[in-house]
Amino acid sequence: MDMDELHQLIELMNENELLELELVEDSKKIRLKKKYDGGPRVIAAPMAAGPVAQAPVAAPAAAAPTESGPPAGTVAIKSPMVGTFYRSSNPESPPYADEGDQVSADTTVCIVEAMKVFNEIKAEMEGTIVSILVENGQTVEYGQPMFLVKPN
Amino acid sequence: MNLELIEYLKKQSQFAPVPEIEEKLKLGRDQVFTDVEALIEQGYSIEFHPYLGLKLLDIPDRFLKHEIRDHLNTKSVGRKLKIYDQVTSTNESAWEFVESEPKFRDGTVILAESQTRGRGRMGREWHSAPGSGLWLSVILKCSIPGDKLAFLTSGAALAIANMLQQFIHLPAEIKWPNDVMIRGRKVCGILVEARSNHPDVYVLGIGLNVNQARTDFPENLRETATSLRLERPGARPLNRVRVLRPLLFYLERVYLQIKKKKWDRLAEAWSEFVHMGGKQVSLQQGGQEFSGTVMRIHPSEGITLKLTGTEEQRVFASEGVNTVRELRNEVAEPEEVEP
Repeated sequence: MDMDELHQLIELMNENELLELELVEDSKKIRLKKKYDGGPRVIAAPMAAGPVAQAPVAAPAAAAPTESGPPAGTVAIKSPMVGTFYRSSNPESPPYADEGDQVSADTTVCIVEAMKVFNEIKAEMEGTIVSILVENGQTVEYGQPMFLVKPN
Repeated sequence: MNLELIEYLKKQSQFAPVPEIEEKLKLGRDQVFTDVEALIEQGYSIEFHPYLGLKLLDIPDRFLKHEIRDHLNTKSVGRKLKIYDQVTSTNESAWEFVESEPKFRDGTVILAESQTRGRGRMGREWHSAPGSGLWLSVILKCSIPGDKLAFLTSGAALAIANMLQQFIHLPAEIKWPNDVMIRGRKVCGILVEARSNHPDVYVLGIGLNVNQARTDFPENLRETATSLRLERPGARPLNRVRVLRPLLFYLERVYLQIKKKKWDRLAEAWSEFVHMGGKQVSLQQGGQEFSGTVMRIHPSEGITLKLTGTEEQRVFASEGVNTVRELRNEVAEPEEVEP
Protein backbone atom coordinates (compact mmCIF):
# COMPACT_ATOMS: atom_id res chain seq x y z
CA MET A 1 0.00 0.00 0.00
CA ASP A 2 1.38 3.40 -0.95
CA MET A 3 0.96 6.77 0.70
CA ASP A 4 -1.86 7.77 -1.63
CA GLU A 5 -3.95 4.85 -0.58
CA LEU A 6 -3.17 5.57 3.03
CA HIS A 7 -4.33 9.13 2.58
CA GLN A 8 -7.52 7.88 1.02
CA LEU A 9 -8.15 5.75 4.06
CA ILE A 10 -7.60 8.70 6.35
CA GLU A 11 -10.00 10.75 4.21
CA LEU A 12 -12.51 7.95 4.53
CA MET A 13 -12.15 8.01 8.31
CA ASN A 14 -12.60 11.76 8.43
CA GLU A 15 -15.63 11.73 6.17
CA ASN A 16 -17.36 9.13 8.25
CA GLU A 17 -16.10 10.39 11.57
CA LEU A 18 -14.46 7.09 12.35
CA LEU A 19 -12.07 6.76 15.24
CA GLU A 20 -10.64 3.44 14.23
CA LEU A 21 -10.20 1.53 11.01
CA GLU A 22 -8.71 -1.87 10.47
CA LEU A 23 -7.92 -3.35 7.09
CA VAL A 24 -6.68 -6.86 6.47
CA GLU A 25 -5.35 -7.61 3.01
CA ASP A 26 -3.57 -10.86 2.28
CA SER A 27 -0.71 -10.89 4.74
CA LYS A 28 -0.91 -7.18 5.47
CA LYS A 29 -2.84 -5.61 8.27
CA ILE A 30 -3.32 -1.90 8.66
CA ARG A 31 -4.84 -0.34 11.69
CA LEU A 32 -5.51 3.37 11.92
CA LYS A 33 -6.62 4.91 15.14
CA LYS A 34 -7.35 8.53 15.83
CA LYS A 35 -6.84 9.95 19.24
CA TYR A 36 -10.13 11.29 20.32
CA ASP A 37 -9.84 15.04 20.74
CA GLY A 38 -13.21 15.82 22.28
CA GLY A 39 -14.05 17.45 18.98
CA PRO A 40 -17.25 17.99 17.08
CA ARG A 41 -18.21 14.34 17.22
CA VAL A 42 -19.17 14.65 20.88
CA ILE A 43 -22.86 14.46 21.33
CA ALA A 44 -22.65 15.83 24.83
CA ALA A 45 -20.59 18.88 23.96
CA PRO A 46 -23.50 21.22 23.32
CA MET A 47 -25.17 20.04 26.50
CA ALA A 48 -21.97 20.48 28.41
CA ALA A 49 -21.80 24.07 27.38
CA GLY A 50 -24.77 24.99 29.53
CA PRO A 51 -23.75 23.95 33.01
CA VAL A 52 -20.11 24.69 32.33
CA ALA A 53 -20.81 28.28 31.50
CA GLN A 54 -22.38 28.76 34.92
CA ALA A 55 -19.62 27.01 36.76
CA PRO A 56 -17.41 29.42 38.66
CA VAL A 57 -14.19 28.09 37.17
CA ALA A 58 -15.32 28.99 33.70
CA ALA A 59 -15.55 32.65 34.67
CA PRO A 60 -12.69 34.09 32.61
CA ALA A 61 -14.16 35.11 29.29
CA ALA A 62 -11.19 33.69 27.44
CA ALA A 63 -12.16 30.28 28.66
CA ALA A 64 -15.57 30.35 27.05
CA PRO A 65 -16.41 26.74 26.42
CA THR A 66 -15.60 25.71 22.93
CA GLU A 67 -16.29 22.43 21.34
CA SER A 68 -12.67 21.50 21.19
CA GLY A 69 -12.09 20.73 24.84
CA PRO A 70 -13.00 21.35 28.43
CA PRO A 71 -13.00 24.93 29.70
CA ALA A 72 -9.75 26.32 31.02
CA GLY A 73 -8.86 25.18 34.49
CA THR A 74 -10.83 21.97 34.22
CA VAL A 75 -10.08 18.48 33.04
CA ALA A 76 -12.66 16.05 31.73
CA ILE A 77 -13.09 12.50 32.93
CA LYS A 78 -13.87 10.74 29.68
CA SER A 79 -15.62 7.49 29.05
CA PRO A 80 -13.13 4.78 28.10
CA MET A 81 -15.81 2.96 26.11
CA VAL A 82 -19.23 3.05 24.53
CA GLY A 83 -21.80 2.15 27.11
CA THR A 84 -24.52 3.19 29.50
CA PHE A 85 -23.67 5.74 32.16
CA TYR A 86 -24.82 5.15 35.74
CA ARG A 87 -24.17 7.51 38.59
CA SER A 88 -24.72 4.97 41.37
CA SER A 89 -24.45 1.25 41.92
CA ASN A 90 -28.23 0.93 42.04
CA PRO A 91 -31.29 3.17 41.74
CA GLU A 92 -31.70 3.41 45.52
CA SER A 93 -28.18 4.32 46.53
CA PRO A 94 -26.68 7.79 46.45
CA PRO A 95 -24.53 8.75 43.47
CA TYR A 96 -20.83 7.94 43.61
CA ALA A 97 -19.92 11.55 42.97
CA ASP A 98 -21.73 14.87 43.02
CA GLU A 99 -20.89 18.37 41.96
CA GLY A 100 -18.59 19.93 44.54
CA ASP A 101 -17.22 16.57 45.70
CA GLN A 102 -13.51 16.11 46.25
CA VAL A 103 -12.11 13.18 44.31
CA SER A 104 -8.76 11.45 44.35
CA ALA A 105 -7.14 9.06 41.89
CA ASP A 106 -9.03 5.98 43.00
CA THR A 107 -12.39 7.53 43.78
CA THR A 108 -15.11 5.80 41.81
CA VAL A 109 -17.13 8.44 39.97
CA CYS A 110 -19.56 6.35 37.96
CA ILE A 111 -20.25 3.06 36.26
CA VAL A 112 -20.29 2.56 32.53
CA GLU A 113 -22.01 -0.64 31.52
CA ALA A 114 -20.70 -1.98 28.25
CA MET A 115 -21.63 -5.39 26.93
CA LYS A 116 -22.94 -6.49 30.33
CA VAL A 117 -19.64 -5.69 31.99
CA PHE A 118 -19.99 -3.14 34.76
CA ASN A 119 -17.01 -0.82 34.62
CA GLU A 120 -16.25 1.24 37.66
CA ILE A 121 -14.68 4.44 36.43
CA LYS A 122 -12.07 6.01 38.69
CA ALA A 123 -11.36 9.73 38.72
CA GLU A 124 -7.65 9.08 38.12
CA MET A 125 -6.89 12.63 39.23
CA GLU A 126 -7.23 14.76 42.30
CA GLY A 127 -9.62 17.65 42.36
CA THR A 128 -13.17 18.93 42.72
CA ILE A 129 -16.03 17.89 40.49
CA VAL A 130 -17.32 21.00 38.81
CA SER A 131 -20.03 19.53 36.68
CA ILE A 132 -21.60 16.31 35.55
CA LEU A 133 -22.20 16.26 31.83
CA VAL A 134 -24.24 13.11 31.38
CA GLU A 135 -27.64 12.02 32.63
CA ASN A 136 -28.08 8.78 34.54
CA GLY A 137 -28.90 5.96 32.13
CA GLN A 138 -27.70 7.84 29.07
CA THR A 139 -25.50 6.24 26.44
CA VAL A 140 -21.95 7.56 26.34
CA GLU A 141 -19.56 7.41 23.42
CA TYR A 142 -15.92 6.43 23.48
CA GLY A 143 -13.97 9.42 24.78
CA GLN A 144 -17.06 11.42 25.68
CA PRO A 145 -16.48 13.76 28.63
CA MET A 146 -18.62 12.72 31.60
CA PHE A 147 -17.35 14.93 34.40
CA LEU A 148 -15.42 18.17 34.57
CA VAL A 149 -12.91 18.29 37.38
CA LYS A 150 -10.96 21.25 38.66
CA PRO A 151 -7.63 19.72 39.57
CA ASN A 152 -6.10 20.54 42.95
CA MET B 1 -6.34 -32.99 60.17
CA ASN B 2 -4.81 -36.30 59.12
CA LEU B 3 -4.89 -35.89 55.34
CA GLU B 4 -2.92 -39.09 54.86
CA LEU B 5 -5.71 -41.04 56.50
CA ILE B 6 -8.28 -39.34 54.26
CA GLU B 7 -6.24 -40.14 51.16
CA TYR B 8 -5.96 -43.73 52.27
CA LEU B 9 -9.69 -44.09 52.88
CA LYS B 10 -10.50 -42.47 49.53
CA LYS B 11 -8.52 -45.14 47.73
CA GLN B 12 -10.54 -47.95 49.28
CA SER B 13 -13.69 -49.02 47.57
CA GLN B 14 -14.74 -51.05 50.57
CA PHE B 15 -14.25 -50.87 54.33
CA ALA B 16 -10.60 -50.61 55.33
CA PRO B 17 -9.70 -52.96 58.19
CA VAL B 18 -8.27 -51.00 61.12
CA PRO B 19 -5.15 -53.22 61.54
CA GLU B 20 -4.27 -52.52 57.91
CA ILE B 21 -4.59 -48.77 58.45
CA GLU B 22 -2.39 -49.05 61.53
CA GLU B 23 0.25 -50.84 59.56
CA LYS B 24 0.16 -48.78 56.34
CA LEU B 25 0.09 -45.39 58.07
CA LYS B 26 2.23 -46.42 61.04
CA LEU B 27 -0.36 -45.33 63.57
CA GLY B 28 -1.37 -46.79 66.89
CA ARG B 29 -4.97 -47.94 67.24
CA ASP B 30 -5.84 -45.08 69.61
CA GLN B 31 -4.36 -42.56 67.21
CA VAL B 32 -6.45 -43.91 64.32
CA PHE B 33 -9.63 -43.34 66.29
CA THR B 34 -8.55 -39.92 67.58
CA ASP B 35 -7.84 -38.87 63.99
CA VAL B 36 -11.13 -40.27 62.74
CA GLU B 37 -12.99 -38.31 65.39
CA ALA B 38 -11.17 -35.15 64.40
CA LEU B 39 -12.08 -35.74 60.76
CA ILE B 40 -15.72 -36.31 61.63
CA GLU B 41 -15.64 -33.04 63.52
CA GLN B 42 -14.42 -31.36 60.32
CA GLY B 43 -17.47 -32.67 58.53
CA TYR B 44 -16.19 -35.92 57.02
CA SER B 45 -18.70 -38.68 57.04
CA ILE B 46 -16.94 -41.89 58.08
CA GLU B 47 -18.60 -45.16 58.95
CA PHE B 48 -17.10 -47.54 61.49
CA HIS B 49 -17.91 -51.20 61.50
CA PRO B 50 -16.48 -53.17 64.46
CA TYR B 51 -15.59 -56.08 62.24
CA LEU B 52 -14.94 -54.57 58.79
CA GLY B 53 -13.24 -51.32 59.79
CA LEU B 54 -13.57 -47.79 58.39
CA LYS B 55 -15.21 -46.40 55.30
CA LEU B 56 -15.33 -42.84 53.98
CA LEU B 57 -18.91 -42.02 53.00
CA ASP B 58 -18.63 -38.36 52.03
CA ILE B 59 -16.38 -35.36 52.19
CA PRO B 60 -17.50 -32.29 54.16
CA ASP B 61 -19.86 -29.83 52.53
CA ARG B 62 -17.33 -27.15 53.35
CA PHE B 63 -14.75 -25.25 51.36
CA LEU B 64 -11.59 -27.11 52.33
CA LYS B 65 -8.80 -26.29 49.89
CA HIS B 66 -7.39 -29.79 49.69
CA GLU B 67 -10.83 -31.20 48.89
CA ILE B 68 -11.62 -28.60 46.22
CA ARG B 69 -8.27 -29.27 44.57
CA ASP B 70 -8.71 -33.03 44.73
CA HIS B 71 -9.53 -34.13 41.17
CA LEU B 72 -9.86 -30.52 40.08
CA ASN B 73 -9.06 -30.79 36.42
CA THR B 74 -8.07 -27.19 35.65
CA LYS B 75 -4.86 -25.33 34.88
CA SER B 76 -5.79 -21.79 35.91
CA VAL B 77 -9.32 -21.41 37.24
CA GLY B 78 -9.34 -22.30 40.93
CA ARG B 79 -5.66 -23.22 41.19
CA LYS B 80 -5.36 -20.33 43.62
CA LEU B 81 -8.17 -20.23 46.15
CA LYS B 82 -9.10 -17.65 48.76
CA ILE B 83 -11.74 -18.91 51.13
CA TYR B 84 -13.72 -16.82 53.59
CA ASP B 85 -16.44 -17.52 56.11
CA GLN B 86 -18.25 -14.29 55.49
CA VAL B 87 -17.68 -11.38 53.14
CA THR B 88 -19.78 -8.42 52.02
CA SER B 89 -19.61 -9.81 48.51
CA THR B 90 -17.07 -12.04 46.82
CA ASN B 91 -16.70 -9.50 43.99
CA GLU B 92 -15.75 -6.91 46.58
CA SER B 93 -13.16 -9.26 48.13
CA ALA B 94 -11.86 -10.08 44.67
CA TRP B 95 -11.15 -6.40 43.99
CA GLU B 96 -9.48 -6.02 47.36
CA PHE B 97 -7.29 -8.96 46.42
CA VAL B 98 -6.44 -7.38 43.05
CA GLU B 99 -5.51 -4.13 44.79
CA SER B 100 -3.36 -5.83 47.40
CA GLU B 101 -1.64 -8.37 45.14
CA PRO B 102 -0.82 -6.81 41.80
CA LYS B 103 0.76 -10.10 40.68
CA PHE B 104 -2.32 -12.18 41.39
CA ARG B 105 -2.71 -15.40 39.50
CA ASP B 106 -5.05 -15.47 36.51
CA GLY B 107 -8.05 -17.59 37.49
CA THR B 108 -7.83 -16.94 41.23
CA VAL B 109 -11.11 -17.89 42.88
CA ILE B 110 -12.64 -16.16 45.90
CA LEU B 111 -15.17 -18.30 47.76
CA ALA B 112 -17.32 -17.50 50.76
CA GLU B 113 -19.70 -19.48 52.93
CA SER B 114 -21.92 -16.43 53.13
CA GLN B 115 -22.25 -12.91 51.79
CA THR B 116 -23.82 -10.10 53.75
CA ARG B 117 -24.36 -7.90 50.73
CA GLY B 118 -24.33 -10.10 47.67
CA ARG B 119 -24.94 -8.02 44.58
CA GLY B 120 -26.59 -8.64 41.28
CA ARG B 121 -26.72 -6.50 38.21
CA MET B 122 -27.45 -2.85 38.92
CA GLY B 123 -26.72 -3.40 42.59
CA ARG B 124 -29.76 -5.59 43.02
CA GLU B 125 -29.51 -7.58 46.19
CA TRP B 126 -28.61 -11.23 45.82
CA HIS B 127 -29.88 -13.35 48.64
CA SER B 128 -27.07 -15.61 49.81
CA ALA B 129 -27.92 -17.63 52.90
CA PRO B 130 -24.91 -19.16 54.70
CA GLY B 131 -23.81 -22.58 53.56
CA SER B 132 -26.59 -23.04 51.03
CA GLY B 133 -24.99 -22.04 47.79
CA LEU B 134 -21.86 -21.32 45.85
CA TRP B 135 -20.91 -17.68 46.06
CA LEU B 136 -17.71 -17.12 44.20
CA SER B 137 -15.74 -14.72 42.08
CA VAL B 138 -13.15 -15.61 39.50
CA ILE B 139 -10.45 -13.04 38.78
CA LEU B 140 -9.49 -13.05 35.13
CA LYS B 141 -6.56 -11.32 33.54
CA CYS B 142 -6.79 -11.25 29.79
CA SER B 143 -7.17 -8.86 26.94
CA ILE B 144 -10.56 -9.07 25.24
CA PRO B 145 -11.61 -6.87 22.30
CA GLY B 146 -14.14 -4.28 23.41
CA ASP B 147 -16.83 -5.55 21.08
CA LYS B 148 -16.52 -9.09 22.49
CA LEU B 149 -16.80 -8.29 26.18
CA ALA B 150 -20.32 -9.66 26.27
CA PHE B 151 -18.78 -13.11 25.95
CA LEU B 152 -17.64 -12.90 29.56
CA THR B 153 -21.17 -12.85 30.92
CA SER B 154 -22.66 -15.13 28.32
CA GLY B 155 -19.65 -17.44 28.47
CA ALA B 156 -20.11 -17.85 32.20
CA ALA B 157 -23.81 -18.51 31.72
CA LEU B 158 -22.95 -21.09 29.08
CA ALA B 159 -20.43 -22.83 31.38
CA ILE B 160 -22.94 -23.03 34.22
CA ALA B 161 -25.81 -24.19 32.04
CA ASN B 162 -23.59 -26.83 30.48
CA MET B 163 -22.39 -28.06 33.85
CA LEU B 164 -25.93 -28.25 35.24
CA GLN B 165 -27.13 -30.17 32.22
CA GLN B 166 -24.26 -32.59 31.80
CA PHE B 167 -23.20 -33.06 35.39
CA ILE B 168 -26.32 -32.65 37.48
CA HIS B 169 -28.75 -33.61 34.72
CA LEU B 170 -31.03 -30.64 35.14
CA PRO B 171 -32.73 -28.83 32.24
CA ALA B 172 -30.83 -25.53 32.35
CA GLU B 173 -31.75 -22.54 30.25
CA ILE B 174 -30.11 -19.17 29.84
CA LYS B 175 -32.33 -16.17 30.28
CA TRP B 176 -30.85 -13.36 28.29
CA PRO B 177 -28.56 -11.77 29.20
CA ASN B 178 -27.15 -13.32 32.35
CA ASP B 179 -29.41 -15.55 34.39
CA VAL B 180 -29.44 -19.31 34.45
CA MET B 181 -32.87 -20.80 34.93
CA ILE B 182 -34.32 -24.22 35.65
CA ARG B 183 -37.97 -24.77 34.73
CA GLY B 184 -38.54 -21.04 34.55
CA ARG B 185 -37.00 -20.20 37.90
CA LYS B 186 -33.70 -18.46 38.49
CA VAL B 187 -30.98 -20.63 39.97
CA CYS B 188 -27.89 -18.60 39.18
CA GLY B 189 -26.89 -15.00 38.62
CA ILE B 190 -23.75 -13.58 37.08
CA LEU B 191 -22.14 -10.18 37.52
CA VAL B 192 -19.00 -9.19 35.62
CA GLU B 193 -17.13 -6.11 36.79
CA ALA B 194 -14.14 -4.13 35.59
CA ARG B 195 -12.33 -1.10 36.94
CA SER B 196 -10.79 1.64 34.88
CA ASN B 197 -7.57 1.58 36.91
CA HIS B 198 -7.06 -2.15 36.25
CA PRO B 199 -7.14 -2.68 32.50
CA ASP B 200 -7.65 -6.25 31.31
CA VAL B 201 -8.79 -7.44 34.74
CA TYR B 202 -12.31 -8.80 35.04
CA VAL B 203 -14.06 -10.09 38.12
CA LEU B 204 -16.64 -12.69 37.29
CA GLY B 205 -19.10 -13.09 40.15
CA ILE B 206 -21.36 -16.11 40.35
CA GLY B 207 -24.14 -16.89 42.75
CA LEU B 208 -25.49 -20.41 42.38
CA ASN B 209 -28.28 -21.62 44.63
CA VAL B 210 -27.53 -25.19 45.65
CA ASN B 211 -29.27 -26.44 48.77
CA GLN B 212 -31.90 -23.89 49.68
CA ALA B 213 -35.33 -25.15 50.65
CA ARG B 214 -38.29 -23.13 49.42
CA THR B 215 -38.60 -21.42 52.81
CA ASP B 216 -34.93 -20.40 52.80
CA PHE B 217 -35.78 -17.78 50.19
CA PRO B 218 -37.38 -14.52 51.25
CA GLU B 219 -41.09 -14.58 50.50
CA ASN B 220 -40.83 -12.23 47.54
CA LEU B 221 -38.44 -14.61 45.77
CA ARG B 222 -40.16 -17.92 46.39
CA GLU B 223 -42.01 -17.93 43.10
CA THR B 224 -39.08 -16.82 40.96
CA ALA B 225 -36.00 -18.37 42.57
CA THR B 226 -34.98 -21.97 42.92
CA SER B 227 -32.05 -24.13 43.98
CA LEU B 228 -30.49 -27.26 42.51
CA ARG B 229 -31.85 -29.24 45.42
CA LEU B 230 -35.42 -28.09 44.81
CA GLU B 231 -35.18 -29.13 41.19
CA ARG B 232 -33.68 -32.55 41.86
CA PRO B 233 -35.80 -35.67 42.12
CA GLY B 234 -36.65 -36.14 45.79
CA ALA B 235 -35.14 -32.71 46.54
CA ARG B 236 -31.89 -34.39 47.54
CA PRO B 237 -29.19 -31.97 48.73
CA LEU B 238 -25.83 -31.85 46.99
CA ASN B 239 -22.35 -31.54 48.40
CA ARG B 240 -21.31 -28.06 47.24
CA VAL B 241 -17.68 -29.08 46.74
CA ARG B 242 -18.84 -31.72 44.29
CA VAL B 243 -20.72 -29.02 42.35
CA LEU B 244 -17.89 -26.53 42.59
CA ARG B 245 -15.23 -28.70 40.95
CA PRO B 246 -17.09 -29.28 37.69
CA LEU B 247 -18.23 -25.66 37.75
CA LEU B 248 -14.61 -24.48 37.79
CA PHE B 249 -13.75 -26.97 35.09
CA TYR B 250 -16.54 -25.79 32.76
CA LEU B 251 -15.65 -22.17 33.45
CA GLU B 252 -12.07 -22.80 32.45
CA ARG B 253 -13.16 -24.51 29.25
CA VAL B 254 -15.12 -21.42 28.22
CA TYR B 255 -12.34 -19.12 29.37
CA LEU B 256 -9.84 -20.93 27.13
CA GLN B 257 -12.21 -20.54 24.18
CA ILE B 258 -12.51 -16.82 24.93
CA LYS B 259 -8.72 -16.55 25.01
CA LYS B 260 -8.55 -18.39 21.69
CA LYS B 261 -11.24 -16.07 20.28
CA LYS B 262 -13.61 -18.90 19.36
CA TRP B 263 -16.49 -16.44 19.16
CA ASP B 264 -18.64 -18.34 16.67
CA ARG B 265 -18.41 -21.59 18.54
CA LEU B 266 -19.21 -19.89 21.84
CA ALA B 267 -22.13 -17.97 20.35
CA GLU B 268 -23.60 -21.10 18.88
CA ALA B 269 -23.28 -23.14 22.07
CA TRP B 270 -24.73 -20.26 24.05
CA SER B 271 -27.71 -19.73 21.76
CA GLU B 272 -28.69 -23.37 22.18
CA PHE B 273 -29.41 -22.63 25.83
CA VAL B 274 -31.28 -19.42 25.21
CA HIS B 275 -34.45 -20.99 23.76
CA MET B 276 -35.70 -17.73 22.33
CA GLY B 277 -35.65 -18.34 18.59
CA GLY B 278 -39.09 -17.96 17.02
CA LYS B 279 -40.66 -16.60 20.18
CA GLN B 280 -42.80 -13.50 20.39
CA VAL B 281 -41.14 -10.95 22.62
CA SER B 282 -41.25 -7.32 23.49
CA LEU B 283 -38.33 -5.19 24.51
CA GLN B 284 -37.63 -1.61 25.40
CA GLN B 285 -34.94 0.46 23.85
CA GLY B 286 -34.48 4.19 24.17
CA GLY B 287 -37.81 4.47 25.97
CA GLN B 288 -39.62 2.89 23.04
CA GLU B 289 -41.27 -0.50 23.08
CA PHE B 290 -40.83 -2.94 20.23
CA SER B 291 -42.36 -6.33 19.74
CA GLY B 292 -41.71 -9.04 17.26
CA THR B 293 -40.48 -12.54 16.56
CA VAL B 294 -36.92 -13.43 17.55
CA MET B 295 -35.01 -14.31 14.38
CA ARG B 296 -31.55 -14.49 15.90
CA ILE B 297 -29.87 -13.89 19.23
CA HIS B 298 -26.15 -13.44 19.70
CA PRO B 299 -24.07 -12.68 22.82
CA SER B 300 -22.38 -9.57 21.47
CA GLU B 301 -24.35 -8.68 18.36
CA GLY B 302 -27.72 -8.43 20.02
CA ILE B 303 -31.14 -9.63 19.12
CA THR B 304 -32.82 -9.56 15.72
CA LEU B 305 -36.58 -9.14 15.69
CA LYS B 306 -39.03 -9.38 12.84
CA LEU B 307 -41.23 -6.54 13.99
CA THR B 308 -44.86 -7.43 14.56
CA GLY B 309 -47.15 -6.54 11.69
CA THR B 310 -44.30 -5.74 9.32
CA GLU B 311 -41.73 -7.52 7.24
CA GLU B 312 -38.98 -5.42 8.77
CA GLN B 313 -36.13 -7.15 10.55
CA ARG B 314 -34.34 -5.00 13.02
CA VAL B 315 -31.22 -5.68 15.07
CA PHE B 316 -31.22 -4.42 18.63
CA ALA B 317 -27.80 -4.08 20.17
CA SER B 318 -27.76 -5.52 23.66
CA GLU B 319 -26.69 -2.10 24.90
CA GLY B 320 -29.59 -0.31 26.45
CA VAL B 321 -31.88 -3.32 26.27
CA ASN B 322 -32.22 -4.74 29.73
CA THR B 323 -35.21 -6.99 29.65
CA VAL B 324 -36.80 -8.99 26.94
CA ARG B 325 -40.29 -10.04 27.85
CA GLU B 326 -41.88 -13.04 26.28
CA LEU B 327 -45.41 -12.41 25.11
CA ARG B 328 -47.16 -15.51 26.27
CA ASN B 329 -50.71 -14.58 25.44
CA GLU B 330 -50.20 -13.56 21.87
CA VAL B 331 -50.19 -16.47 19.52
CA ALA B 332 -48.58 -15.64 16.26
CA GLU B 333 -47.05 -18.82 14.96
CA PRO B 334 -49.54 -21.66 14.52
CA GLU B 335 -47.04 -24.25 15.73
CA GLU B 336 -46.88 -22.54 19.09
CA VAL B 337 -50.52 -23.22 19.89
CA GLU B 338 -50.85 -25.50 22.88
CA PRO B 339 -52.80 -28.63 22.03
